[in-house]
Amino acid sequence: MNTASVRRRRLVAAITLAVLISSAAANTEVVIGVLAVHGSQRTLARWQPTADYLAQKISGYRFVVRALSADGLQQAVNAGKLDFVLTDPSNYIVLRRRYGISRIVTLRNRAGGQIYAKCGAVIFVRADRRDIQHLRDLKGKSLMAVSGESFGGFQLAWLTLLRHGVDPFRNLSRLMFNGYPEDDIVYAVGNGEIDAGTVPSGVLESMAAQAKIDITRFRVLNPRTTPGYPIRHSTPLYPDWPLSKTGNTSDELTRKIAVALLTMAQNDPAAQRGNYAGWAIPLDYGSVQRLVRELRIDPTAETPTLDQLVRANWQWAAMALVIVLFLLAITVYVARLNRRLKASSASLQRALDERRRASAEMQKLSSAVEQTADLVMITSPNGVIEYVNPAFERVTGYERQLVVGATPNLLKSGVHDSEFYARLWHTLVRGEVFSAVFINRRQDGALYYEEKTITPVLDSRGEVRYFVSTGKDITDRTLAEQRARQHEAEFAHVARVSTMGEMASALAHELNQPLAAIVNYARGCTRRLRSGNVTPEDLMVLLTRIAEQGERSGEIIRRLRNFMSKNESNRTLADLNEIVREAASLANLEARHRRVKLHLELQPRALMVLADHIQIEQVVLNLVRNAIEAIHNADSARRQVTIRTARTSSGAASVCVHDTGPGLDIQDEEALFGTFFSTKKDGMGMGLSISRSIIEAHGGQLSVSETSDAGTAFIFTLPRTSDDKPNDNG
Amino acid sequence: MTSQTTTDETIYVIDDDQAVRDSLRWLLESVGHKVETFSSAQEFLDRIDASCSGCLLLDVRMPGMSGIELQGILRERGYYVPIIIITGHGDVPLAVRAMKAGALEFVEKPFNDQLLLDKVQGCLTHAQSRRHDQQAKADIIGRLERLTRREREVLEAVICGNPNKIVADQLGISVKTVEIHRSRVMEKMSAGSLAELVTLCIKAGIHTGKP
Repeated sequence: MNTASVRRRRLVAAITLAVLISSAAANTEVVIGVLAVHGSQRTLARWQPTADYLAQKISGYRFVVRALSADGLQQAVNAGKLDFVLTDPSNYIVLRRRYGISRIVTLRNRAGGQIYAKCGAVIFVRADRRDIQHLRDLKGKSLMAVSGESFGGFQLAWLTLLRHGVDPFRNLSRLMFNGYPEDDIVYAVGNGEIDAGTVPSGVLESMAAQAKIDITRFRVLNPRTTPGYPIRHSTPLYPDWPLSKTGNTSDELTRKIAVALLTMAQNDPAAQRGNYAGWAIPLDYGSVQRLVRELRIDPTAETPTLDQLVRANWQWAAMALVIVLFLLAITVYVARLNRRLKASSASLQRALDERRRASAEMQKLSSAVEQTADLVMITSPNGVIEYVNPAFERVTGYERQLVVGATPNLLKSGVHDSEFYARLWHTLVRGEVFSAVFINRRQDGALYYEEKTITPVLDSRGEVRYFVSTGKDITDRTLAEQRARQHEAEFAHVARVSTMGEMASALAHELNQPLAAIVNYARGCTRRLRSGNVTPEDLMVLLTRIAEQGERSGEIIRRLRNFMSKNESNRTLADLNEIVREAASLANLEARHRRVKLHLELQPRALMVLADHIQIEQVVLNLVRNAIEAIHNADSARRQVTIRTARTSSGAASVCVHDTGPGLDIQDEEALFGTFFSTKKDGMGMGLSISRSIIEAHGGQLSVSETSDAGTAFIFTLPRTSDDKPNDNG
Repeated sequence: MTSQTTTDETIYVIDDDQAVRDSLRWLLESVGHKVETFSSAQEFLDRIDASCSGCLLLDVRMPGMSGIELQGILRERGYYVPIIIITGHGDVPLAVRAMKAGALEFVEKPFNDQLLLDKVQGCLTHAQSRRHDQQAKADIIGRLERLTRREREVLEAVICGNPNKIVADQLGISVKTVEIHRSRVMEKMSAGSLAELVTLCIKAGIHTGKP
């Protein structure tokens, strides 16, 4: 008895703890580590507004900014303390290599009134320094930079100088790191304290705009011109700072953040306080990777092989093996012990329950009804409320004395139609149980969702004595599901817009075809009319053809607009074959452009599915575009993509997209479907990830397999709907 | 209008887009051209032979065999057809590759009809004059083949600019005989003068090296 009560107390403590943890989870902390280049005070002041922006857009999370040095960032990522990392491009490459962080968006900066997601650096001297005309003239001269770790404030200039035969650590008379603010470097060059300086591009322009300097007194060495970037720069341009996710961040949260940041306005208060101009789709950091390699910024980059590691550390390996074996033994022992404890505890529990049940059955029942979290309502056979429990009062806001004697009509929200209530009474009158989700109205006017079961209680003669209604308040869950769906829909929309951007060239090409035909027909008509050798019948035929081509262009545009529309997640019964045809006609634009043939093998009967048809179309388009790209990149001899629809043996509808490309290296299927995995240079890398989440949200599955002829096949299924049966049989 | 002329030449249109193909036929026929259309490069190769004559309007971007591949095959088979490349928006690099592979002209979709017709006419004229040249050459070679061995020797010596006496010495025959052969040569070759004879020989590819 004594041990039982101790165990009980432990049980209570465990439950309390679990409740505490789950309530904390409702407001999960998300930590964003930021490289503090300006010291931690200024870094926090710069980025806290962005964290607040995220908190405002994404509910259920607290966003915390940690300002860290480069070393501090590395330790924190290593220890798994960070969910996101905002750092300069070279540091990002180092952290990506060591800890597998991956970029999700790129910062956009403002320079000279324009917005760019790229940056460079200037190397400059005073305009009157005749002796320094080229970068190579800096040999034996002095140079001032921000710091050795600064990407724009030194590393860019470093690589460019090396390329021009000047090693800043060997060939200069002096290399000075002056730290922030960068303005001081410009002043030092201006008053002749130092021969040359380097600062990120845009600094000179913004100082000139604030009338801090006369920009004509400075001359940029090795000035470069980059189309679309009128800011002075001496180095190639590189992508700006990326925001990255670390390995332990969920895809769902990552997506929410990507959407929130990509949709941030360029002049949002958070962007203004952070001195930036919003966020862009992540750029390719390959150029930064080459810079990091060339400057040997990441000394651990050459990782030893496993074999070398084992050879070098065999004592440790052996010891680790012993420890593992030991731990394994202990685990087995403890597990066995636990099992025995559990068994004896269960039998004690059973004995106890038996005794209590016998003594307090009645009291328990009534207090259960009073205390349960479920809503309970009892009405008379003609629908007058006789009893409601405290949970009912809490959820609806109506007090017991107010509703007893009234009818449940006072809860009606108007959402359900009369047919719904007719069905309810019809069922109850027959003495059967009625279950449904009710959307009712609280006393304060707000709607609530109740998963309700109404049971008629019959007397010995089979007459209804009461109706007992029990229900669960599922308002929070339902709203959360709706929000999640809404979010998914927004994200899918962002991805669709991005897809269309990538397809712009193929689209222009495809619209050109009917336009060319129309122009040819019309010009031919003009010529024939002028020379008089045309009959009205000829003209009739020709005008019809012109109209057809006009309609064809209209159809392309209709498809586009439809695909780009920002529909609220909206599921209707649709024919999967029809969706595939629609997607194929969009994909065909790109297929022609890449000289790839699209081949449709559609199941002859309609394949009805309950789906958001634009989202499914998006999945098909994604898969077909990937297939076309695979063929194009490999320059395959056979250039065909086959789209097949079928009904699987379990009754699900399936779509298979099969290419004649070189096949994928499917080593890590999870990584393939992960967010931001991409083999493309300019893709966002969310195609497969978003496709999978759309399919899973529809209750289906998306998978990949290699095929016998070396190509790749992506297959997805959608569950069968009960409504399609008649269609299938007829 | 330069493009109003009718010729025996055919314009071969290869485009995988049915409407573009059909509309080109309508436009080209409106000025009296003969037009044949093909939906792919393969279909064109299957249907034509070496006797084809005219010009080719070729969409550079098609599924299956590309325009550039077709150019290569035509060259290998020794078919001569001047090619006008049709390009879509932004296909300039592809057009440049096609021009390097021997295309004569390129036009951008949608077309300016006059520009297209002028280019077609230019190509047809080019094809026609080339055909005439070839016919003329075949004709001259035919005449040359009717000469006897001696006459041929006299011809070759005469077109080098040698007077009859030197020709007689070279061939070891009398001046009189040279004169007789020479007049027969002029007759068989239907040349009115030495200058005309030399021109005919140049067209037929016989060298008129100076002694």
